[in-house]
Amino acid sequence: MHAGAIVLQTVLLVALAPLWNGVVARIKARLQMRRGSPVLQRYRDLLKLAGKETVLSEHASPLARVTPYLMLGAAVTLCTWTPVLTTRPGLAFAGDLVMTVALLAAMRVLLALLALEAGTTFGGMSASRHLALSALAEPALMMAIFTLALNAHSTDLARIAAAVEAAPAAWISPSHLLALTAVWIVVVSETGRVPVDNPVTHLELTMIHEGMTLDVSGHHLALLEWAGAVRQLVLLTLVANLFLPWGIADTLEPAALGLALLAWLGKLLLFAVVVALTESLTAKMRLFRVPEFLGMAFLLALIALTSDTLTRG
Amino acid sequence: MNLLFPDWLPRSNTVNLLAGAFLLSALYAAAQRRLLAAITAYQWNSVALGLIAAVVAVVTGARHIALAALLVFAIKAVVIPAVLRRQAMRGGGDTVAEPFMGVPAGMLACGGLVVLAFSQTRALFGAGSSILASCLPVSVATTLVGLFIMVSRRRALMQVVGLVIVENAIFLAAVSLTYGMPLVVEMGVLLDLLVGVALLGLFVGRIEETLGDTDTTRLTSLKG
Repeated sequence: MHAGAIVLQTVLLVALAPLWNGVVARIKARLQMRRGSPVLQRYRDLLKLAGKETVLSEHASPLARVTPYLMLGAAVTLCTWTPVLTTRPGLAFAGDLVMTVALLAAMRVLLALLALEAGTTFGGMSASRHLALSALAEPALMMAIFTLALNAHSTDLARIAAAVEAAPAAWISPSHLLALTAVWIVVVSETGRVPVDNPVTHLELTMIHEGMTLDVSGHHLALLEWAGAVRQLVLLTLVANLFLPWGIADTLEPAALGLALLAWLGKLLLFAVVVALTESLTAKMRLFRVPEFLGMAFLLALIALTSDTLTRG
Repeated sequence: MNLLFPDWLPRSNTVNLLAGAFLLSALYAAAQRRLLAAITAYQWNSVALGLIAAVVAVVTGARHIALAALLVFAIKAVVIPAVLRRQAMRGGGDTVAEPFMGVPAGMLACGGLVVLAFSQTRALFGAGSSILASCLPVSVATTLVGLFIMVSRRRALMQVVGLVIVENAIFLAAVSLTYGMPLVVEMGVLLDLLVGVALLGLFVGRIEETLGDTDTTRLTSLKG
């Protein structure tokens, strides 16, 4: 993959990340018979935050100062090797499936450290919940994608996408759907959405992801929110292009890329509708039920992996 | 032992994905504490089954399978869930009864059963190239999951849900092995099932009236 294509997809992911949240909020508002805020509202929020004063405790460690930048940096790095428009292997030497999961984990640890750093109770509580859920979600994510990686004989994300897309009729087995379900549960949990977490909650006791940024302000908060949005879009793109890769381009020709762009946006819109519907139709789960929910994701991924190897042999 | 089965229908993505949905809905039913949610899962299970039968009907062009698919939709996806729901609402509504085994442990057991089913089916029949390759292991796995629902639940109606899921799985095996039995047999089986579910509903109603509860562990107290 040419450098141009890598830059293009990184810019696309980073620029469109807040938009997806705006679209979900808009669809949700429509479902609730409200007009809702414009889809570009998230960008305005980020701009407003960036213009505000950043309050840092005089006891804040250097970690608290650099974490927001590190978070966005990690998120942007993820964007460079995630297959977005094309399956041409690009930065495969730099990052593959394992590296992606590792970077996601690094972001999680950074965020938890930032929450603990402030020393407030809500931050610590949210950080502990966040890490507990992540410990359950991460193996499920790895197992689910490994189901595909085993068949593609590679952990390179672009190669996996290419293998699934080029698959003959006999290739997609029942385990594909199980793995997709597992990965979707993980994405819902990782992006802090209903039924695991509520992204619009203002009740500190129920917060998971929002609780960790309570003490962050100004452009630090803007950076964190943007990094969170980019991370979310990367996860959604992984689901779209690894599990449902149809429409992705094999070449770097402009026509194929344009088509791939439309397919990608279509899939993201579909996900937005699904998430908005789930958030409108289901209630948030009790925290103690969430491990069960994530355990189910892990189990589905495990079944997918074993049944896949067994039927293929 | 190498059994010979008609190997007409090549594996197809549609059937494979539908088989996945079939297994997934059975597992979803096994993970439920609430009766109504389990009945909805059974409904999805039946819809997936009907769609598989419809695909087989379209590909083979056999009219009796198309009719059987329609009957599956009508009876398994509409009538039986409605009967079960009515019974559930009458018997204390959507009350929660903890299964004998906690849900996480139960899910682990189901996972083990699915893996067992997949490995043993492969050991018996080898890796086929027809739709059997996906449908047969899924149907064996779903049979085991349905049986597990039956033995692990306290509420009588939940055990009925397990039973009808087992029946769905056997129907799937029949459709993918033989590409449909004669229509008379299918109709007879579906009618039997309907009568069976109605009778079981009546029995559950009687248990409810006599004991004020459908917790089957309390049935032993009749002895004393």
